[in-house]
Amino acid sequence: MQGQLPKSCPSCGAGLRVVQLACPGCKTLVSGSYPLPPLSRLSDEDQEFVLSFILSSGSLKQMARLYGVSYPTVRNRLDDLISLLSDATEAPDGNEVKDGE
Amino acid sequence: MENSPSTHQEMQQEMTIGRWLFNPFVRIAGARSLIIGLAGIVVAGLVAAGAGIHFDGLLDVHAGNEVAPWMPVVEGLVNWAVFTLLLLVVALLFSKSAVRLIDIAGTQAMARMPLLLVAAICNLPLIQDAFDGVAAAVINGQLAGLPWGALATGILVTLSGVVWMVALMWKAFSISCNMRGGRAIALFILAVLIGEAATLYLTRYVL
Repeated sequence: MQGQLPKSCPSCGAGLRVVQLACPGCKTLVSGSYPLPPLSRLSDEDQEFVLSFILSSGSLKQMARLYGVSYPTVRNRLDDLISLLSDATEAPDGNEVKDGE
Repeated sequence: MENSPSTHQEMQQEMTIGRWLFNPFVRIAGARSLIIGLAGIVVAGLVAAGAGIHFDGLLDVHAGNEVAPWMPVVEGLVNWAVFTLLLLVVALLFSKSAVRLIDIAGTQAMARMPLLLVAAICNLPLIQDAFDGVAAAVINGQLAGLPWGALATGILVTLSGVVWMVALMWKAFSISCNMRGGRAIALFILAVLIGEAATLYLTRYVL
């Protein structure tokens, strides 16, 4: 079973960073300190929403039908996500991004 | 990053009876809400005319004497149109989202549905007689003979209906214009005050 990618520290809640990558073929390890990409730092539900949005060719009307909600409800959620991603892009470490800002 | 805030919760929530009554706009907006809302305004106006009721102001429900059948219908449409235009201006100036006029117009029309219930209950002969008798009783000084129970029921239903309508108008504004928080509440109250003044003038002095 594939585990879910943890996004924040279970102890202090700060955003996590990638410090090691491995090649599954030759087992080479790469160490460093890389921030997670902004999309990877979204919650699972938000990532699913972004995926559905792309698969719907960016049609909010189709998204509204898919989720069974009204057009402005979907648009408002998308705008909230845009706001979150804008903050994440400005703070690439993910430590300074706060929900609902 | 955590979930995107309240809109995520809104989309996840099951539609209980309470949510259908106080926030149906999570599910219904746009053309569908406009058709339902306009039908509601017209029917509520026709029913209100039967009960001798005026909608002479954005939040006003007043008992009158003879009311032309078209009058409460036109009053309802004027109230809705004026407030929709006001909220459109507010949204264009202050909302971070690209709002659609059809969502504001549709949800605001649907938000006026409680007036249909108010008009229907005020059409009941018992309540209608109570309202009709008030003016005559005040003039004659015979308040003791008034059916106080029916009168209180009529007033309570009317007040509850208006409060319910305002709650729906707020939710409609919040969702259709994507505005939340203290500033949104302040702007909504300001729009209601301006809308009330404008519709009072239009329905009482122009129509």
